Amino acid sequence: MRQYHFKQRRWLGWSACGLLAAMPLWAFVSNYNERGQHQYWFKPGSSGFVSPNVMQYTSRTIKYYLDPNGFSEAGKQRELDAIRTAFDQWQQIPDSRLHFEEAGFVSGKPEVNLFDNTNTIFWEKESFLVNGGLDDIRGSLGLTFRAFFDDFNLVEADIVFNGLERQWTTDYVSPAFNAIFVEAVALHEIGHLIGMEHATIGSSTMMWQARPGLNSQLDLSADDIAFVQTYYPADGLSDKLGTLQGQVELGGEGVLGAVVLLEDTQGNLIRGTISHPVNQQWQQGFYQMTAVPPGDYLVRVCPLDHHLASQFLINGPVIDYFRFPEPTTDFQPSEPVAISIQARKTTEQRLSLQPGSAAFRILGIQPRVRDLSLLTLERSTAQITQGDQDIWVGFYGENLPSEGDGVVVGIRGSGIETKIKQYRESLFGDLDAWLIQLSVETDALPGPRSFFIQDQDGIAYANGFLHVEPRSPDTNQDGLNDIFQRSHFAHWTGEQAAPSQDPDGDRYTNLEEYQAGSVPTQASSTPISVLPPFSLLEVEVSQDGASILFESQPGQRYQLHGRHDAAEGPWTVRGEPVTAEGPTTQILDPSTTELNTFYRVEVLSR
Amino acid sequence: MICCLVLGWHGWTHAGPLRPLGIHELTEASDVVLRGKVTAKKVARDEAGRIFTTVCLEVMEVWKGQLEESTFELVQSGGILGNQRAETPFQASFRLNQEAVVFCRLNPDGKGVTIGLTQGKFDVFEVGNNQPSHVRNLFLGGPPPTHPTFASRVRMPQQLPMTLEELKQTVREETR
Repeated sequence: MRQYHFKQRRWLGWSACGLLAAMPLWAFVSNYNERGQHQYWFKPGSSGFVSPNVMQYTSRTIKYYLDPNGFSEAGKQRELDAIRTAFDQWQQIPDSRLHFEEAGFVSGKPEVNLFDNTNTIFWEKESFLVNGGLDDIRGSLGLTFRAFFDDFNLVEADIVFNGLERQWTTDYVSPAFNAIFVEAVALHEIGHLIGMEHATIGSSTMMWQARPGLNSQLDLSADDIAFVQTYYPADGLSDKLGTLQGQVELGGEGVLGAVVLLEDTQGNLIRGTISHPVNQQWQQGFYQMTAVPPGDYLVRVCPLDHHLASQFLINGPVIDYFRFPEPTTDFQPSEPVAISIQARKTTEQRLSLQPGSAAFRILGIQPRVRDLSLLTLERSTAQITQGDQDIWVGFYGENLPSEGDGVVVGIRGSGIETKIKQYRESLFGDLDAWLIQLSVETDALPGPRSFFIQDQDGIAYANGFLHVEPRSPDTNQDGLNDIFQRSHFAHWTGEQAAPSQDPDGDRYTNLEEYQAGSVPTQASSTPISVLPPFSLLEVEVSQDGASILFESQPGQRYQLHGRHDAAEGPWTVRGEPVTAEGPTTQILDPSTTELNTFYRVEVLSR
Repeated sequence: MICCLVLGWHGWTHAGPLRPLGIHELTEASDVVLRGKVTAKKVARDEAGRIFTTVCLEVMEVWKGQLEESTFELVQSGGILGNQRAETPFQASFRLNQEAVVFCRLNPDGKGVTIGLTQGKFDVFEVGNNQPSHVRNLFLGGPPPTHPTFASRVRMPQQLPMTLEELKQTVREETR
């Protein structure tokens, strides 16, 4: 007979959404019971009933088991490493106390079962029918099943990735078209595993959807980090941070499902949450943001997209299908309100709204493009990078105001200069477009921004659907560029990828190889294998590409590499290796027709 | 440069938890497609201890498959059983006396399981003014242009308002 480990009342949940904590504290979006108890791990008292095979209470460690088969036979090691990396990112959040331990491999065929005292992570590759034949996961990308007690203490979780109808990749440099990037989805699902729901900010890792391949889910946002710092805080952290809370009201009534956004004083988006339905703990329309650093901020409110809208960026059901099936959306976005947050204090702020339906809404996003020759319509965040010059982004919607008549189109937040703005009527079906050419300051604050469009009838936002990426990211704060590490290591947060390591045994550390531009996982590629800059004699750009002339040794093989920044970013291979026939050699880089690339030449082994 | 536009239509990208399933895909994956009314719900455990709900439907029409009984049972994970509960986001929710169209496969126990969680269930709703019943699920269908919610809607060509009859005809054509 099966032995059930749990002795308390236990509620079960599984999801692609998230959950949270004990006291009524949060920002982001959380799950909670009718008593206002949030869902998370390690609650005192009830945690003693959880299997030690699932978690260790004293060390705040959640254990997990991987299916050793991964997604593909050829790539399983990298696929499992990508999952490990995702766990690392969550547990490396500063000022937090959350640990994960890979406890081993699943034996036999993995299956979803929240009663087996094992947190299991696997790709389902045989049947859409999972969980003992109770659920068909067709159309799903990944699902996180969670179990919890009636005090909403999480006690077990399983993650299943859809390996039947999706292609998955770990290739950071050249991900296959339309393939799903393992690390990004694993990050998202682990967010659910620790208690998060879908976000109200477009660029959050917990956004309900994102584009395939590399996307804005790949790095944890301030919203995601705040969740961990709130519910898994390091000792003493709460003394350094403050809380914002209050009620969103319309005509004296609390509003369900209003998006509450916290910005810095320049309008840069920091956090987002949602106003909640009434329960035993709070009134209808209650909202709260926790773990907010002291300082001055702006707070404003926006409606979600209508729950019946066929096209939407974020609506109630995709945040929480049960809690926000029909949120209130017939109100105008509010003006920003200035507030001040102090450490260890709660700032109360009532947010009053004006009735009215939106005259227009932003329903699609134009991702970053260099020119307007190929436009696409997406629902995911447009990513731009510090220092970008003259690139295009934009947004789509029905009946968008055209130029004139007091129409203002722009980007809320700092560090971005908008240049040309173009209106296109009915660009995709009935959808009009506003396309914006912009440049990003080299020291622009990384993080989310918001598109907006305003006329005399109102204003519409796409909150966090533009994201400034750092030019030289180092999210794990180990002193080495994340792009370099991701380009060469599937487990880029692991020991092998650390700056001081020398995984290829060529006596050069990863940091030295990064600085020189050589490959840290290839012993034949070392800093001294790269030609000194003065050996490059000439660069000529034509319609065929860029040709690079350099000094060479006859019979020696060379490989050209390029990147767009002289000092930072990963080198990528350009063209094919060539064998020198004389004292100078020319290599063509067909991928570049503009003078915006910096080159190096690697000396290959013979 | 801007004069020569080549517009690329890649459609919506869906790397989120749910990829919208079209009616063709829903129909093809289904063993049974029927219109029915919810008459009962019951919660139990399976042999492995999982909590699940059985939804009993009074069959009004069968659009695909063959049923000998006038009632149809489908199962789904989650539910409330004594002092324990299971919740499944994106799981189809059923209310007593609610009318719905369900796209189901049969599991090894012969019970129906909705295709793609909530995507395999269409709500049937009235729009008034003697207009025909309409249907919608999370991604497909919706009310007609005269409906008050239409003003806030934008539709893509594949996301038109859909009547119950239109859905039925589409399923029937797919099964021929």
